[in-house]
Amino acid sequence: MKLRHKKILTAYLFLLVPLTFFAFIRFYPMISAFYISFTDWNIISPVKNFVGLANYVKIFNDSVFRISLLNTLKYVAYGVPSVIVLSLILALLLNNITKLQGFYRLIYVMPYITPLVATSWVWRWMYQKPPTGIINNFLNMLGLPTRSFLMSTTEALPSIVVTTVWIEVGYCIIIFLAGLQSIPKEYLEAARVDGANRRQLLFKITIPLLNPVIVFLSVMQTIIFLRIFTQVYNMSDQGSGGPLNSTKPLVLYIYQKAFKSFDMGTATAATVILFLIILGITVVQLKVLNKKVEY
Amino acid sequence: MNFAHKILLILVIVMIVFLSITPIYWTFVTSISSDKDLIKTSKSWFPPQPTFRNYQEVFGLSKDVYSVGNQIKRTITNSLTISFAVTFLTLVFAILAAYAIERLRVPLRNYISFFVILTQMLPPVILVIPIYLILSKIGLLDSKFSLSLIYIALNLPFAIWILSSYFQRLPVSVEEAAIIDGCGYLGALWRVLIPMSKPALFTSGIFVFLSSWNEFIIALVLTTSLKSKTLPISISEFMGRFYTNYPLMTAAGIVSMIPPIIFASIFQRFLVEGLAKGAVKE
Repeated sequence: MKLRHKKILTAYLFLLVPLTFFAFIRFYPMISAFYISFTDWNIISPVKNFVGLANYVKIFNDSVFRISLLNTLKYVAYGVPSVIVLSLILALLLNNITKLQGFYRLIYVMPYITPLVATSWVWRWMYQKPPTGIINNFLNMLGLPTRSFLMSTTEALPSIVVTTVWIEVGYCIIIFLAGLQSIPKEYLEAARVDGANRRQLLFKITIPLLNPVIVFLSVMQTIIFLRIFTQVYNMSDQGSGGPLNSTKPLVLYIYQKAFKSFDMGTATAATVILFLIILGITVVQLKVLNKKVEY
Repeated sequence: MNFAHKILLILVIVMIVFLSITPIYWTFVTSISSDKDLIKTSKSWFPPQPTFRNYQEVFGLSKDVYSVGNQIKRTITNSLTISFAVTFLTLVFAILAAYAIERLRVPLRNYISFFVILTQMLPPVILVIPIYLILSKIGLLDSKFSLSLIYIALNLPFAIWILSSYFQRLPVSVEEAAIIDGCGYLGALWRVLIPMSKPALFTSGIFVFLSSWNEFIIALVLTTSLKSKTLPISISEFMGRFYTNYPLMTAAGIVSMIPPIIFASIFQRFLVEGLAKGAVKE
C-alpha cells in the first residue's frame, strides 16, 4: 500500500513540469482565447466588456475575413490532394530502390528540414521576372511567355501551393515508404500466386493496407495547409497576403488583426473559427477515411 | 523489373533529386556570385568568379555594430542558444514524463494523453495571442527565456509520445532488478532505461531542435529586439528590407540551412525512423 502511494507520488512528480506547462502554456491560453473572443478588448483600453457574439458577427461581415476563409479552403483543396497523390505515386516507384536508400531519403527531406522562411524566400526569387527568376528563365528557354506568378492575383495562391507541396512531398514520401515496407511480403506473394496482376496487387492489396498511413497523412496535411502562414508572410509583399488579399489565409488575417490593429476580440473570434474548422475537418476525415482493412 | 520500368525509375529519381536540390543549390550559387554575374540572363551552373565576401559579411567581420552581418550573427547566437537549451530541457522533462506514464502507470493516464492530443491540433496562432498578453503583463516579452519555455511546452507532447512508445517496447525485467537492488526509480531510469533508449532520444532530440530552429510565428510575435530575435525572424526582416541584395540575403539563407542539414546528415537514420514512427504505428 505504501509502496503504491510512493509510486503514484513519484509519477506525478515526474509529470509535474509537463503538466504545469500544459496548464499554463496550452490549456489556459486556449480558454482565455475563447473568453477574449466574447469581449470588445483591444490592448490599449483597460476594460473588457462582454459583447456576446458581436465579434463573430463582425468578422463574418468583414469581406477580408471571408476572402481569407475562402483562401484557406483553397490552400487545403489544392494542396492536400496534390501532396498525397504525388508522394504516393513517387513512393510506390521509389519502393523498388535498394541502393543508397539513406542518401536519397536525406535528399527528399532536405526541403522539409530547412527553415521555411529561407525556402519561402528562395522560391520568391525563383518566381521573379527574368533575369533573376529562374523559373521564368526556364519558361523563356522553352519558348513560353513570362508569367507574373506572385505578382498576379490569380497565380499567386497556386504558386504558394506549389512551394508548399515541394516542401511537404519529401516528408510524405518517407512516411509512405515506411508504410510500404511494413506491408507483409506474404500477402503480395500469395496474391501473385493466385494470379493477380500488377494493377490488382496495387489496388486490392497495397493501397488498402496503406490506408492508415493515407489517413494519417491526409489529416496532418490538412492541418498544415489550414495553418499556412510563414510561406504567405514571406512570399507576399510586406507580408501582406497580397496582391489584393489574394493569398491571405486565416492565420495571417488573425496575425494582422491582433498585432497590427490590436483588435484582440476580432482576432480571437477568428482563431475560434479556425479551431472549429480544424476540429470539424479532422473528425470528418477520421470517420470517412478510417476504414479498417483486415486480411 | 523490366528494362522500361527501370528507365522510368531512374528518370523519376533524377527528377526528384533535381527538384529537391535545385532551389537550394541555386541559392548557394547566388550567394557566391558577384553582382555583375547575377544580372546576366544566361546563367551558368557555377559562377565564373566565386566569392565568399557575403559569408564574411554574414559572420560579422565588419566592425559596424549595426551592419546586417552583425545583426544576423547575433540572431544566429540567439537561435543556437534557444534551440540547444530547448532540446536539452525538453528531453530531460520528456524522459521523466514518459517514465511516469509508461512504467509508473500514473492514474488517469488515458485522460492525460487525450487532452495532450486535443491541444496538439490547435494552431499555434490560437495560443500566441493569450501568451503575448500574459507575457506583456509580467514583462517577459522579448526574452530568450520565455521563448524557450514556450518552445519546450510545444515540443514536450511529441517527445513524450516518442519516448513512451519506445519504453513500451523495452523489457521491464532489467529495470525491476535494478529497483530491487536498491537503485530507486531515478537510478533505474538513469542506469538502465536511458542507455537503452538512445535511438528514441536522438529521434526526439533532432525533431525538437529542428522545430525550434525553424519556428516562425511565435518568435515573430514575441521577439522585438536583437536580445531575443531568432534567425528566421531576422532573415525575414532583412529579406524584406534589402530585397535587391541577393548575394547577401542568399548567404544568410544558406547559413540558416546549415545546422538542419548537418544534423540531418549525422542523424539521418534516426530522423527517418522518427518521421516514420508517427505514421506507421497508430
